[in-house]
Amino acid sequence: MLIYDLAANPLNSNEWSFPLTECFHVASMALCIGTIAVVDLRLLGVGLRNQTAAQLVRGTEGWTIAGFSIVITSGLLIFSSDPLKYLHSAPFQLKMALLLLGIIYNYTLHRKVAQSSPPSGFRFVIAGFSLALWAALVFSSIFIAFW
Amino acid sequence: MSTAQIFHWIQSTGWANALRESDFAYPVVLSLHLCSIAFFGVAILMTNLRLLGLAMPNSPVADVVRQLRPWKWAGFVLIITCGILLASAKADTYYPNPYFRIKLLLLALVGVHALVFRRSVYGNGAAVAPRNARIAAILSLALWLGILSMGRWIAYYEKPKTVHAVVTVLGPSQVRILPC
Repeated sequence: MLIYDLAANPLNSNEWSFPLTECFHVASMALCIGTIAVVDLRLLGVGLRNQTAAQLVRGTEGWTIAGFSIVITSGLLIFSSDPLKYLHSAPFQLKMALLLLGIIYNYTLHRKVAQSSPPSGFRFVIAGFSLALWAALVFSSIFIAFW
Repeated sequence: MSTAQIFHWIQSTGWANALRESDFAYPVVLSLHLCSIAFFGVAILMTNLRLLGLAMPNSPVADVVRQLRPWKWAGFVLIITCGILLASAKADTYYPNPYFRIKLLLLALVGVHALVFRRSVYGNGAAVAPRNARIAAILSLALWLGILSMGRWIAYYEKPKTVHAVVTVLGPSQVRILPC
């Protein structure tokens, strides 16, 4: 039988490790969602208009990957602090579904449309859906604590 | 009127009460605060990363900085508006919170940073980053990361337990209880 003692988790045994992990989580969330939003806003015709969406994808993709790596790592750590609480939380379940959908969407349809030349007629829908999806993910994260 | 009283008055205004007591409005404003950080805070990040040569190296510095400016301001206004709403709802507990105070101090330093570097770095029309751009970018990133971290830490501050009375022993037979 696997026994997991929550109190032995470093995130639960001192005062600063949990908020510090959350800081990494929030900052890297802003990094990955923000760099995706740079591309989305360009597809909607605002922001960095002197660059093409394809150029922006190339200019930001490394930072998006870095953001995803840190946000998922810190997220797993936060999850480990109380797995059952999160597993049973409806906003958390929604968040995980949105994350999976978001990652797949970002690296398939979204990327394809952002890199298409000439610009695809679907770009407004693709960008709007992307922004809505990532915003919904942020909302579901906050609601974990308020449900 | 002391500062603490001003904070108390802010918290007791109708909309601050409504926001604090609503199960729904408070997390919604908090979510908007975070969405604004992600969608618009990245403009600050990209500006500084470009100055450091770490993002979009093929686009001229001045071009990237200039295009991101309105977006940076829009984000700043949104983030601050949500932040003021959130702080107002809990102004009484925010006032003595040291992390909140550090956050305000760092925000003031962002203003100083802007005054110092605005012309030479961010308003500079040159295609390549000016010499002090590296310092300006690193300072800006450090300040904003500090602000973000203090924002998270605000939630973890516990006010020291209130001491209801201090007992002082003045002499062998004199015991005085001083309420505080």
